[in-house]
Amino acid sequence: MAYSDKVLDHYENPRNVGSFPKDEPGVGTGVVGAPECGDVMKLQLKISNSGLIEDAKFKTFGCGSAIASSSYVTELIKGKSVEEAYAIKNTQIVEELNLPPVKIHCSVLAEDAIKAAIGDWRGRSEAEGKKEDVASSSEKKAV
Amino acid sequence: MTTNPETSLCLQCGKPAADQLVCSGCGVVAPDGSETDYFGVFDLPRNLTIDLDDLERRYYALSREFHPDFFHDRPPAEQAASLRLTAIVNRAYKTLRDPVPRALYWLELHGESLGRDNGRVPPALAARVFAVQEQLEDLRAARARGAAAAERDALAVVRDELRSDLRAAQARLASSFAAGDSTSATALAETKQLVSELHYLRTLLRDVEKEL
Repeated sequence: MAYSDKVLDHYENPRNVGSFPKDEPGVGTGVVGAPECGDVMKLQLKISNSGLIEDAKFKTFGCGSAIASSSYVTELIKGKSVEEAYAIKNTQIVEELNLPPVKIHCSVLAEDAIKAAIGDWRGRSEAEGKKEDVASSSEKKAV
Repeated sequence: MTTNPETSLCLQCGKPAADQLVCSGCGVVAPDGSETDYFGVFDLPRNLTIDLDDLERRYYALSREFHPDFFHDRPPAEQAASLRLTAIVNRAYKTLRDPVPRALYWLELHGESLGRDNGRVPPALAARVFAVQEQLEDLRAARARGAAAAERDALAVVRDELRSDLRAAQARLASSFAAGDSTSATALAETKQLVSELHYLRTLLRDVEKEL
């Protein structure tokens, strides 16, 4: 199977490979895997207080299309709001990278990674919020 | 085996007899088997548990029956049918003889597919995949520096662990087959979970073996 030029470009020069510390405030981590082929993908987003995606990093162990899909997603997603990012569909990745039908699941994996990372960030910010609430209410009591 | 009802008429006698591989009306090879159920090809129930020796016997019998060599003097439509049926029989055998493809196929027949489960990679397994893959990166970096003995030894240990875990997972899949062929939601979910785990372990082991 021949990869498209765009897939090859992302595969040979992947953008934004790496990771952020998981516990850093504003970081959302999504780990997903494709059970049919055993590929795994980790996508991390750094999200501002106003809900803007400031930075993104990924680490993918899988085929060229899976690496290209996640690499492209990190470029696509930077500067977007959380809502915009959540609305990204795998078809957009398929079109951009010219993925053949047998590799569509790689784009689905990337879409799921975005959703998982945002879900993790939402869960953590809610937990943070609660902690702050508890902290402030106990402060009040102390006063 | 079921066939597309629109094309399941026997080419030879015209009877709607092609719900079997061979027409019961006239004994001629059925013209169409496009909607084939692989279990049905071998006249087996849709069970996860399969007697492999029995499957092999059925496979050889069918292969002989449809072998294109025996059809060289038959009408072109029958020659084509023999080729197509041989291909179906081969695909069916390949799918059913290996427990993992068989389980995947069985899940498909029950409307389940692994593809919808991306988000549910077990966290411990994902963590393991990342840890081992990072060890592989370390090995490649050490190789580039010219001294990788320690990294290679560490990975050989990892490889042995993966092999034994893979064997254990395969044994669990086999015993879940033996435990019965329940199609309850729980049984389907369990089979899915096991097959997914097998795929992650297989892929990881393949990557490790490639580097060692």
